[in-house]
Amino acid sequence: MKNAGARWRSWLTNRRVDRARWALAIVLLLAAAVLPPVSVYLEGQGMIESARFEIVLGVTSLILALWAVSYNLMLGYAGMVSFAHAAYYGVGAYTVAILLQRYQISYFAALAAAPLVAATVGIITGFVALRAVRLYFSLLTLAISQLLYSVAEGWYSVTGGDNGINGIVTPDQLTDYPTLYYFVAAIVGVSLLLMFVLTRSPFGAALLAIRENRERARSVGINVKAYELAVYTIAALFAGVAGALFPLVQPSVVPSMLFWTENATPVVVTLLGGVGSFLGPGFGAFIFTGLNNSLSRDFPYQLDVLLGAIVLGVVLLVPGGFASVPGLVAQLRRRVVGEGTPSIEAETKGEAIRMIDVARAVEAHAIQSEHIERGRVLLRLEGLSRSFGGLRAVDSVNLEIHEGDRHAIIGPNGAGKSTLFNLITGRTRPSAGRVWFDGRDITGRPAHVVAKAGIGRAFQITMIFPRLTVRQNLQYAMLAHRGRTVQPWGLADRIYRDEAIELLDAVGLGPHADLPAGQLSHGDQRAIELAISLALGSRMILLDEPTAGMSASETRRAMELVRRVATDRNLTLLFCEHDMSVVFGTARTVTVMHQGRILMQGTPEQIRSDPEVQAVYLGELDMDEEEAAPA
Amino acid sequence: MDPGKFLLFATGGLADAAYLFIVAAGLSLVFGALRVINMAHGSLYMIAAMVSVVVANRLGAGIGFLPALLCAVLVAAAIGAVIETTVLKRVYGHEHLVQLLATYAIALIIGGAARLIFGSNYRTTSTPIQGSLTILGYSYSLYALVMIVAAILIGLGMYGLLFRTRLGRNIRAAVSDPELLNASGVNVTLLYTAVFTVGAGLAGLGGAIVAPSQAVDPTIGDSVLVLAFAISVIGGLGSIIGSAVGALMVGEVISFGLINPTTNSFALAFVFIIMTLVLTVRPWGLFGRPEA
Amino acid sequence: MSSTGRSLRWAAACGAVLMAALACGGSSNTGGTVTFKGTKNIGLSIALTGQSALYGHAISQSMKLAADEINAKGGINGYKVNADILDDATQVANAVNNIKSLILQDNVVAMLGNVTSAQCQATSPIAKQNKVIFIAATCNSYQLTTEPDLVNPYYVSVVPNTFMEGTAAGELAAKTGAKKIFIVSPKYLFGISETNAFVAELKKVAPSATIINDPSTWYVPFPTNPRWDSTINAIQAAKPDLVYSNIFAADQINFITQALQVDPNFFQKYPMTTLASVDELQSLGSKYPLGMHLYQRAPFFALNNPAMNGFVTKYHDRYGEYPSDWAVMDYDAMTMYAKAANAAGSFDADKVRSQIVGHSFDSLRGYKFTIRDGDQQANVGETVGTTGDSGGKYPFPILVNSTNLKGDDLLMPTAILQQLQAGQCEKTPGTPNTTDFSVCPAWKTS
Repeated sequence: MKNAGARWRSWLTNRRVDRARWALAIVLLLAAAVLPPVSVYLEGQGMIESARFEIVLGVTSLILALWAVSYNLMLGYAGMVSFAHAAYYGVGAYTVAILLQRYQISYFAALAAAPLVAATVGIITGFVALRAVRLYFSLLTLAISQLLYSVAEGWYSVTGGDNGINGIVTPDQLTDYPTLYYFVAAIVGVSLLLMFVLTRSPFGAALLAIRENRERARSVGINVKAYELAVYTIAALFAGVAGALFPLVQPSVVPSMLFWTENATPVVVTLLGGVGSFLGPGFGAFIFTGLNNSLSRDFPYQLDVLLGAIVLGVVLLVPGGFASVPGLVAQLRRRVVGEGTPSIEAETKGEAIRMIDVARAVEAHAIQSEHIERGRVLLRLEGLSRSFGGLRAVDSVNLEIHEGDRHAIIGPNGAGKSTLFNLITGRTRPSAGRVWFDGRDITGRPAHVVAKAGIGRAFQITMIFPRLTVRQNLQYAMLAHRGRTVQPWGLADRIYRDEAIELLDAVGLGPHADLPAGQLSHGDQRAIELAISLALGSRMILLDEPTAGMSASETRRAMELVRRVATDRNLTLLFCEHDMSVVFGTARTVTVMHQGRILMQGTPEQIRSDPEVQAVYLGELDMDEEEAAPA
Repeated sequence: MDPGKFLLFATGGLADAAYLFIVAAGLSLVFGALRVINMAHGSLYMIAAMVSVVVANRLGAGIGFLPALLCAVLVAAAIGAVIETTVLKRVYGHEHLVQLLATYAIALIIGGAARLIFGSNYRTTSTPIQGSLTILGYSYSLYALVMIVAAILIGLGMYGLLFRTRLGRNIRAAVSDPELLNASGVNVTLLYTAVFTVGAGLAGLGGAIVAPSQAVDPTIGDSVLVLAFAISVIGGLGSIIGSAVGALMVGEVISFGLINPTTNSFALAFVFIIMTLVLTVRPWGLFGRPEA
Repeated sequence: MSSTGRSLRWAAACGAVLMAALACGGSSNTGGTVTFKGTKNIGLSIALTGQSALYGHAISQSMKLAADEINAKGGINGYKVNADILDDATQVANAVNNIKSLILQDNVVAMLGNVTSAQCQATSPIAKQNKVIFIAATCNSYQLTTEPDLVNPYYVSVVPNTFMEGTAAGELAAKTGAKKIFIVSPKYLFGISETNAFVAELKKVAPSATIINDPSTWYVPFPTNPRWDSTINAIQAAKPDLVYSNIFAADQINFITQALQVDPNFFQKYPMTTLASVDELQSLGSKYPLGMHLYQRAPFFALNNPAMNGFVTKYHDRYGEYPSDWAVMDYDAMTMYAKAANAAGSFDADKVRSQIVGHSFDSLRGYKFTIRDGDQQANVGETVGTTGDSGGKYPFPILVNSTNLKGDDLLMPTAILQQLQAGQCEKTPGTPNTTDFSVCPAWKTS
């Protein structure tokens, strides 16, 4: 009862902030829609100097809005910081300028061509840039940006070199200011809509998963590089659209548009508007344009100091930008009104695992089951080795895992268990040897391929998507693993929703389904981790110390769940564990590793009584410590 | 190309490399230990150049150089310490975009403030060391040679600092294994402030050293920043030897690239081609270590 | 659907707020005084910050001084004039935004030109479209008045253009009798344009002289190189009789400083003919080498006449500085506009234009200049001379034995002008933006 109440309250409060954000978005969109008539009216009233100038600022803001939102597609949705985005904007502008001035093609045809050129440049350079990750990716985009700038600056015969391309004339159809505004607004509007659909789609879900946790994203079957390249290219495409609109307000296209420091504009705009929101950067563009126009007029000498102070203030004090205002207002209101329950509890109590309903979990639709042939070899390792420097972490391991088996790997610290898991799941490439899964050679294949092939994984350290809700964690993992994240339309949050909730309820996470996963206690996060592994519908699951950090009773509960799911839903289990009661209570086969090699393999009984194993452990553990839990 | 000419252009490249090395080494050190890309590095360089020119001219051009240099380095280091303790402290561990934006904002503020304080005029001062050498028929600036020697000494000094002192050991630990450092009981907060202060001081040193051969105005940091980025990335962020090699490559590529008719237009592009190649093949740079 | 209605009302209100935000600071100074009918703005978008802020600083000072003097004499057509100055940090896009703001919001009656040719290329068409007089006193690439796409009836140039300057430089270089010449120029429209004119003139007046560095190495990346080792060493290696340069501002200061460090007698060994303005002389002060052959647009110390001397005194009294060449030329631009608009009795661009083109105006430069028809270029001269000690008069060297080359001798021949404007001088036929006077049929026959 109490949990249901908490869930309801948190849903209600989240809804209120959500509704406020939607209302704000609609109000501002309508405001943008009525800008020309309102400014004409205000000019008539003598309240503003020039309606035409306001409209020009509006057009400038719209173009900047598109540019910034396309930047945020990478930054906010995939966590990529690029220094080359201005270059694609520039490429769009150059394409239009060249087609117009050199080939006398109509503006509208050029407008259609520009995004394609920008996307082409984007995909080629993006392919290079994505050879590196995170910070190094950013630095690589910096180098690429400067290269593209050098090309624009030096290729006289095409780009006009340092002088750029000048004297671009606005097409006759668009010389009227309101018409120009609505034309640009229409193009920007359609582009924003397309990007909005994309972010809500399963494709967008994959991006969010990558942003949250690359490693986890890979292990649920997402080809991280491919998705990053896709979003990089799409962002370049829309930057190209924005760039193609640029010549409507600026008659000259010059190389400095491509210079890396130009990226400061969309980044600052995104920051002002809010990295975490779709439309935030769009409104950030209006704020920025207005602010820049008035400040540069009245405080030209102080502008940089003021702008710097604003950016610094936002970074340090309101990192969510403009879009976080409704949330902040809601928080303030709660504080003032004294409404007790904050929508976001600092941490949950970590009682999910004790609430696990094994019977329901086993029936959950989220878990796929296949017919299996018990006893057939599913995974075969042949002479698998891996050295780090001089150390042979895994040394010529030969191992067969049979379908339907529950196979434990034990051994003292440093025996090579985690490395072995990494070799199987493609996180680490083997120095020698082969990995066969279901008759397929998967040696050294990337993690997402291995995941897709049917090997799921739970990590030793908790690997979840912290800022996504618990439900999304599960849903997006399912989407990814079932190959649906290629779909760039439809609402990701609606797909597999019921299945996810069913499983979450069963594993005791139901009350927290709509909380950001990162806010859950450690124990509850382990439960999410477990639920993700189960929901992937893998034929085989690798669990790396699944009960690390759990209490004895939680451990018993969690392992009962794992065991039952494995038996009833035909899963093959490979796990490593220090807790011998877990090992002997769960495993049918046990393999002992020592110093990277396999010491022995057998039934739990054989292992328990083997003197050599006991010698390895040297009394490190008491084999009879606890009675194994009943199967 | 005869040996005399070759020596001439090679030395020209060395002179470029010298001041770029000093600036890039500071950037690289800060990144290595703090994992922060400091966009305000060029501004610290600029402010130090400005201060050194103003002070040197007040004390009397030439003689005033050394005290002015000291003063400029101290000012840059002090500003660095203030930035670290007031702003960077709050953004450690954040995504690197947050740090980029924070330091970018600081760069804007320093640049704007410098203009408000010093104006937009070009300021010039004289070198303390005048005169030239003639080798194989060509003249060499004595000051440029001194600058090269100074860069080598600074490089050696940094090497000594990093490998012969306790502070250095801790800095190296911060570069290679921050977690271990946390566990070892070192005052990490203080260490980070120290590293950033040293990095800022190096930017200042670079600025003060080139100031006598340049028109100094509030924009001089911009072009240096991007080259310093390129150098520290090519050499490997966090590696002093890397910065030296990177600076040499960039200096020589520019020196020889500009005089060659076929490469003249793209001399600067070459720097970024090298940067792209290094990052794609060895993202952690020629002398850096891959991040765990 | 009541929420939709409410949303609409909110939208209207927010639209107003948005507008107010955008309009912030948009209101111009409209406060008139008793004696004037009102205020008219003359616009200027210039670098107050960033690279070339030094120029913007002097130009805006002189513009304000000129406006005050015009107002003291009763303003223009009974209106007070206001110098409406916006900062563009030498960025093209900012200049475009500024000029739109000046024209649409502040209703400027005329504009002074920006610093760089790239900026003027972008802003001139907007002035043309909105029929606003545009007086260039700084940007001076001849393409601005001859490029078919750019030809603008409201564009007037009171600064010697690159053709005139290159020609002047060619004559100056020829006079030195140098046979081996080394060229250093900034790689952008201005430098390329001026260097081409220099080379073309040199071929005419000193056919025996040769350019010893490869054309692709004439140009150095622009803007602002901190280090000039490569160029200085290339000069040492090539051993020219003369170095010709049109690098300016920080580039020139850096080049000179570093060259002197390499060899205190560098400019005795390799004499130099270069473009210069009072700014470079002032910035380097006594460190500016003596014996340099300079060509300057409007150096106040060499244009000794009552009007100039009065101006220098006023300028120095008010700002504590000496006026740069830009300050002089923009002052001329302002007084020219005031005279023409008063004569027209109107601010209408066409009427004012008809009082400018073909008319003569007083100049601080000590002579009257005329705006000719065709390219609407003033026949202003170029001052050439050699740097020498000012005898303690100024804290920097000045030109000794200076000559004022007559504008009429430097102007582009009309035949070439017409062919350029007609698009007959394109390097790649059918492609705009590639015109070059030396491709014109008329140049080849001259």
